[in-house]
Parts: sequence; C-alpha cells; structure tokens
Amino acid sequence: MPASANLCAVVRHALLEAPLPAWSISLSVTLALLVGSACLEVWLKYLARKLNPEDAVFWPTWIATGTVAIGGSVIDGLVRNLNIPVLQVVLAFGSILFGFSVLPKILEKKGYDPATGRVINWWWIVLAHLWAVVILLSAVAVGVEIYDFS
Amino acid sequence: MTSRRRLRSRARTDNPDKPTQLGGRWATTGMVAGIVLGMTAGLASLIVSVGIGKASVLAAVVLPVAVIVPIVARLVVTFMAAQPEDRPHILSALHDLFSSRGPR
Repeated sequence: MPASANLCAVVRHALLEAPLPAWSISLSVTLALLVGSACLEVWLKYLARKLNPEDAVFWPTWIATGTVAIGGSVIDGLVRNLNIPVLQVVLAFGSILFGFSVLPKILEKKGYDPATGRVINWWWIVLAHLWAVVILLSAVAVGVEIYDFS
Repeated sequence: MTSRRRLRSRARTDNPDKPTQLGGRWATTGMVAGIVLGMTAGLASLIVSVGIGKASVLAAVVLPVAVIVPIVARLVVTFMAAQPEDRPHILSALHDLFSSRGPR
C-alpha cells in the first residue's frame, strides 16, 4: 500500500471512525463558526463595496447564529422526542435574553456614537465579542448534547 | 413626592438633556449586573453541559480567538479600505508597532 493511501486511511479513521468527545466537537464547531462567519462576512462585503472599520464588528452575527442554532436544536429535539437538557437550555436562553436586552443598551451608551453610529470605544466592542462567543459556545454545547454527537 | 423623585424632577427641569446623578448610577449598576448575569448564565450553561474542566479548556481556547478575530479583521479592513498609495505607510506603521524598536 502506498504511503499516501496509508495516510488517507489514518486521517479518515481519526475524523470519521474514531469516537470524538462531545467537548472537542463543541470546540471545533464554535471555532469554525467564529472564524468562518467573520472571514466570509468581510469577504462578501469587500466584493460588494468599499470596506469601513465597522465591518470588523461580528458580535451581532455570532449572537444571532447562537440564538438560531439553539432555537432550531430545541424545536427539532422537541419534535423528534430527543433528550433535551432543560437546565442548560434555560441558562443559555438566560444569557441570550441578557445579550438581546442589556448588551445593545450598553453599546448604545458606551460603544457607539449615537449621532453617526460609528464605533467610538473598541474595548466595549471587544467585550461584546466575548459575550457573543459565550452565547455561541453555550448554544453549540447544548446542540451537541441534544443530538448526542459523542 | 419623595426626596429622590423631587431631586430627579428638578434636575430634568434644569437641563432635560443631562441625565440625573441617580439615573446615571442606576444605569451603571444595571449595566454591570447585566454583564455579570448574562456572562455567568452562558458560562454556567457550558459548565453544566461539559463539566468545569472541559468548560475551562473551551473558554481558554475560544475567548482569545473572540478577541483576536475582530482585531485582525480591523487591521485587514483598515488596510483594504486605505488608498493604494497609503498602504505602504500602514504596513510600515504596523511593522514599527510590532517590532522591538517600537514606533518611530
């Protein structure tokens, strides 16, 4: 057997056949969503128009992705009678609730210029990204648990 | 009317655009409480899902990525948005920023 075929078999086994722990799946999916959505969003905007500094803001995309992901997982789990972790779902929705209510008001007061809508303080935008990634991570972890990917 | 309400009412009458001291303090308290509660709820959901050890590993990997991505994106966006004749200046400024010599 040639070396390349042997390598392919090893990679296939590692990716598809070997059991992966749930937390590593959560990590991979979250990182793929974070980096992938950011790169594709900037690339699509670059193709359509001239870029501006506000195009480097991704917290709305990440919060929206996490919300839709957990909502879809919970609805699908209810319809198909899958095992839904109630406590995790309630806590994740609590974080989403604050993310949709408190976070935009904080950014309205501290992060953006109300007159122009431009970013005036990047530290608050960085905080918003941290919060968004916590929401996304908890949503992905709940989804992995509902679908029992491990 | 209680003294607090009278205070706020007088402050609004004097300068309607300026937020009152009381309102500002409550707003700050609410924002801090919202940040703490929101982040705690998300992290608690993660900890209940995967356990505190794995949740720490996940947070330690993902949180720095969440900080790095917008910073890198801002550098890329600034570079792409600049006029072609200005791009070498941006590159040299970045080089100075990250080199051991520091900015010139």
